[in-house]
Amino acid sequence: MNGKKRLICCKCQKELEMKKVDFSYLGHTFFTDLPSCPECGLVYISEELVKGRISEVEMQLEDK
Amino acid sequence: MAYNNELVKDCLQFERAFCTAECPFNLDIRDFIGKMQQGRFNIAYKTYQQSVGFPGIVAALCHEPCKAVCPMKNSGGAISLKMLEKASMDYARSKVPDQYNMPQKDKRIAIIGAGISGLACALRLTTKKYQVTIFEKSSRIGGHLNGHNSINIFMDDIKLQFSHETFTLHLDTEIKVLKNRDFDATYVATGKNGNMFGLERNYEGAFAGNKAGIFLGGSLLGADTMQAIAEGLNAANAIERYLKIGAMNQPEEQSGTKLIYESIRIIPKEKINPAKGNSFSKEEAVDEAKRCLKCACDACNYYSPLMSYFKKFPKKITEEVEISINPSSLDGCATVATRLISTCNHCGLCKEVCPVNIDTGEFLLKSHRTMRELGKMPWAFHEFFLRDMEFSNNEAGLTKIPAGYNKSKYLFFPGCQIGASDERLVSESYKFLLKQFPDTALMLSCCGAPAEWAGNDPIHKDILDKIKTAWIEFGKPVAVFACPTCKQMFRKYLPEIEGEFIYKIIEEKNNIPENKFTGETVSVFDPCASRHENELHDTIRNLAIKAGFKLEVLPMERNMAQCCSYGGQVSVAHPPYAEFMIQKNINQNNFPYITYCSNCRDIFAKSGKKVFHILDFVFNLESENRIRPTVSERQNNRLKLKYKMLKEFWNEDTIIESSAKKLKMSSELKEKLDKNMILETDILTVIENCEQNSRKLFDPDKKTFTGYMQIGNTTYWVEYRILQENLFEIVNSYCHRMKIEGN
Amino acid sequence: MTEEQILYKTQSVCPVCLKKIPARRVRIKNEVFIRKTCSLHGDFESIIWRGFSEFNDWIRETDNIPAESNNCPDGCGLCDDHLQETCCLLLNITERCNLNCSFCLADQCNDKEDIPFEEICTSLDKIIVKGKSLIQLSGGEPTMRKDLAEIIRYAKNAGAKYIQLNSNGVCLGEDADYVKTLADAGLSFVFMQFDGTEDKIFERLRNKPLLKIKQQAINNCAKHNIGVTLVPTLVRGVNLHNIGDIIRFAVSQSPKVRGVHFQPASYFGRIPRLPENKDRITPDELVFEIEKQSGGIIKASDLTPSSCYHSLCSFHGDFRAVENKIEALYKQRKTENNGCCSVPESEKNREFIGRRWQRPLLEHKAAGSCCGSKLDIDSFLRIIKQQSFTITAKFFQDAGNIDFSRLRKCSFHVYENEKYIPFCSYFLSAWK
Repeated sequence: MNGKKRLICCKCQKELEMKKVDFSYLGHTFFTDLPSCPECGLVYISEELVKGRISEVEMQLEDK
Repeated sequence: MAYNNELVKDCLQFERAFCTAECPFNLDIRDFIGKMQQGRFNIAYKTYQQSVGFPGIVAALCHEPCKAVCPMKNSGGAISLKMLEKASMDYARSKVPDQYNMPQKDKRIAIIGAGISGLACALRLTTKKYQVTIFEKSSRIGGHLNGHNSINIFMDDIKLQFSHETFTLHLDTEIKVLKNRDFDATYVATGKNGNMFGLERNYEGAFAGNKAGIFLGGSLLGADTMQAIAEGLNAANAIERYLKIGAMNQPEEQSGTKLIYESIRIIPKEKINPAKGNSFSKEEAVDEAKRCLKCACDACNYYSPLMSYFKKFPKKITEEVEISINPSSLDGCATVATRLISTCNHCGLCKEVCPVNIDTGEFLLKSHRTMRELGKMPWAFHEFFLRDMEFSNNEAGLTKIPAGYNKSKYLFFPGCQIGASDERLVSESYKFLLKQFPDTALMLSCCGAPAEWAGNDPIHKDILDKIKTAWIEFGKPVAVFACPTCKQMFRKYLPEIEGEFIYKIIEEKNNIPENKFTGETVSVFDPCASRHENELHDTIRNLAIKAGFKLEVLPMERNMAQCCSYGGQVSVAHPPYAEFMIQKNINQNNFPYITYCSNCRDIFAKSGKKVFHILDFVFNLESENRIRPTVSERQNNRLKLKYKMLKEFWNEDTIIESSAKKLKMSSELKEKLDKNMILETDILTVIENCEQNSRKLFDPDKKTFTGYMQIGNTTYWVEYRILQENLFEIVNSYCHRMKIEGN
Repeated sequence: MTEEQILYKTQSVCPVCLKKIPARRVRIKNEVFIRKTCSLHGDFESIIWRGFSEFNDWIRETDNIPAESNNCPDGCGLCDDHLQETCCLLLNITERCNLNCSFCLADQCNDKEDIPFEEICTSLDKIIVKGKSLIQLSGGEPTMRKDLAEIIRYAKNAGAKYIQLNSNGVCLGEDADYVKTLADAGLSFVFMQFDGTEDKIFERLRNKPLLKIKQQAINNCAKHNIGVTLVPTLVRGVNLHNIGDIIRFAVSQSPKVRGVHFQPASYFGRIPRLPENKDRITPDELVFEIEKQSGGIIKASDLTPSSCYHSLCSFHGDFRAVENKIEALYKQRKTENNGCCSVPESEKNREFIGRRWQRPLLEHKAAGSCCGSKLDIDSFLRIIKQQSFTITAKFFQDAGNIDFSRLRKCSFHVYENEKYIPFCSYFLSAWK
């Protein structure tokens, strides 16, 4: 997803690591791996992901 | 839902054409003409042959009752159907009837009378492989056709149609008494003044005699030649029904049709006369066929952009919506009409053009409400506009009466969009009103249309209550509108409030600079909400003419007005359809438009069309190159308007926080945010949240911060740099509806 | 005396000597034929339409292009007169095969040595358009090659968007680990030969009972998320009656099976005998049989000519298969492209065009997912894609019925020796 992009959580001063994160929309729940702060859980979602798979899922669910 | 069947019960979509209703054979003339228009003579002939039994006889003798009811009869002449039928015969590649390889049936039918009615009955029955015996008292077949000049042609036709079939013929055999022992059914067609064998018609079924298994028809019962043939053909069906289920209750043929066809759709064209002799050449036949309108009730599909885009008629639409609302009612072949429901502009055109007033738009609106109540409508389509409406009513809302007054004669209700477009439109209008009526109150608020379109009753009701409260407080003034949609909403939901358009007052007071634009041609674009405001249509045109413009009429104007695309907030649910609507509207002609709804104006301006609001000319506002403001600018404009009004008319200053945070970004990013409906205020909220709680990420390479926050049902992401204490540079922003859990 | 109406003049070849000769498409009542005369070898006729539906309703205006071209077929590779860009590209990577079928379009032969791996890679580099190409690996039987996985990996790295494997499925059924290596290398989907739901059909056409191994192949592919499309070779008197069962079987196996691609037997390559008109299965007849044998669930109107070929070459129908039921996807606008290649639906242009929306998939369980109702986003998207089900057909041309006007509109090409050759002219072989 992001290759070698480094991101640091400002509060905890820790580098983000990939972790399973939960989502929900219109009564469905999902998960996927995202960079998250190992301490406070702050996540990062790139625009690429938002415009890609997330948008696809949203559209599929809205189309029902 | 009971109401959707009620809705479409009068729909004329499947009604027969006028000609078909008059035709003794109920020939599907639309179908026949369709094939002739393509020059497909052979298949047209087959269609004709199958309907009339003896095409040669019918083409020669038919008295064309269809012509009397053809809508073209006064617009160039009724369609020369008989000549077209003859042409199909002349040019069909093969006139030999089809041969069906079916086993013979063991039922035997007697036909009394070998006139053309009896022969027609025999034709149908023998092609279905029943065993037929005809008894004819004279020595020839053909009945009363035998006196005719063209009897030889008729005999040839009869021979041709029976090419592959046989029946037993007993000539010179007069039946005196009917005995059914040897036969399973009988058709009595003994001709005019013929023997009825003491029978009568039993009207419980078509052609049924009052004895089981015996059927009567033809000129015996007074039919003319064409009817006699048709009756013979149809009696065969009644006989077959009797043989299969033992009942004599074949339903009678329905007569007439409920079809209604607009005379405006008729294209006058002189009928084609054959250059040589009495018959059409192939080209002439095709040309004459092309004159035919193929009358059907399709006004909705012809005029309504939604119905023509999706190619759906009301019956289909109600079916699909019903299934969306009640999925359990389907049998597995379901589709859901969520997006269809959300694509309706609620412009009212479909009801306007429907001859039986079917209001498909209202149906879709109600369905929208139901879907929302059931929790099935994705709120994403409307959330932005509902929040925007809330902004109009709260932060940018203003309800005030001029100092020194408790009651007012008028209440100016400009609506939320006109001020968002250009604040001068509102301030100048109010100034004008105050000059005439110094007690005029002001209410800056949304009328609630987005809530209606979103099917959100509770929010809608809330707004209506607030408006009503203010109205009562100000002594029940007359509301003065600038926006046709606002007036429409009031008329529908606040009928007790009397309303008027500011344009009427402007016209009465002659407040438009005269003859400033002599010679320029424009077209007046009527917003769809103005559909039934006939007076308003005239007012606007009068104002435009006073200003010196020459008016070019648009094809879809006044009560035929189409939505600019804004209605229903369709741009979210169905962007390509919205685009299709916009192009359709702006391409009606090349002249600039004048309109009186700021949404129409802004949407067309964005697409490059030269367009003005009538108030631009009333108040001499320089607006030539005014472009549509972004969603953020629109909110800002409303806020600025509020402060301006307070200052200018009430001398109240508004304290704006000096610590207000500011954003800096490229114009490309501004465009992107507008396109994705991301407000700068929301970006600020996200940044504030990130900064206060230190909930942000740092990218050491790009030296940017990134954070997110859920506002309403949408999660916004912002990537930014801190330039100074209250100045931020926005690098990027995007949003999504999926909710991040556990944060 | 049969009244012949000439519909169209075109060019063809003599089936005996392959000399280029003029031909005409003629109509007699509701049937359509291609007729031609070779000065040396006489008259030939091949039926191309039986009249189960109206020919004129099927043919499109865009099909009637001039057939005249001096380059056709020898100047192929493609010549300037060719009217269609490559949509699908076929690469033969071996001539060996582990079966010995009575009908074999490739006339496989186990004696020839395989093309060296490096040569294949060179070809792939030349033909792949990054991010766009659909490459079909074919042969003989491609799974005979031990380096098939490497070939796939190379093609994927070279930028192929989809990699399709045309196979009899025998190796795929026998060796689940082999399938895994292909999947890991980037294989997109498999077109698997599948003649019927009864072994006696396989025995007649393929000389062996193969039903069990084919089912195993489907299962092995499914385990690694490789969609399988079944490809029956239709022969009258052998499996024409089995169409309904094949479709039902395929639907019941959805989403493991993504569709059925019918190929009426064409008479090139290895054929048991020369064809007569009665052997030919025409597009209208196939559409009719599909509707009839599916009990009307699949309607003739759901199957329409593909837009990237001549209308006589191929038809296509889009469906959704959910819980053993099949329903047609409605095509809203006439301008929507009716794609021929069975690409996963998500990859199709994702604009907000008015489509019909389907029932909620709330009840659908993910293939192999864990934890109750939560789904991995990628699995969810895959499930949605896998609900798509297509029914397609290809009508290859042989020396008996080849029509150059159809050839010039062909977008299905074989790549060999740096040339792109339309499939039917590549395989054109004489009837001797």
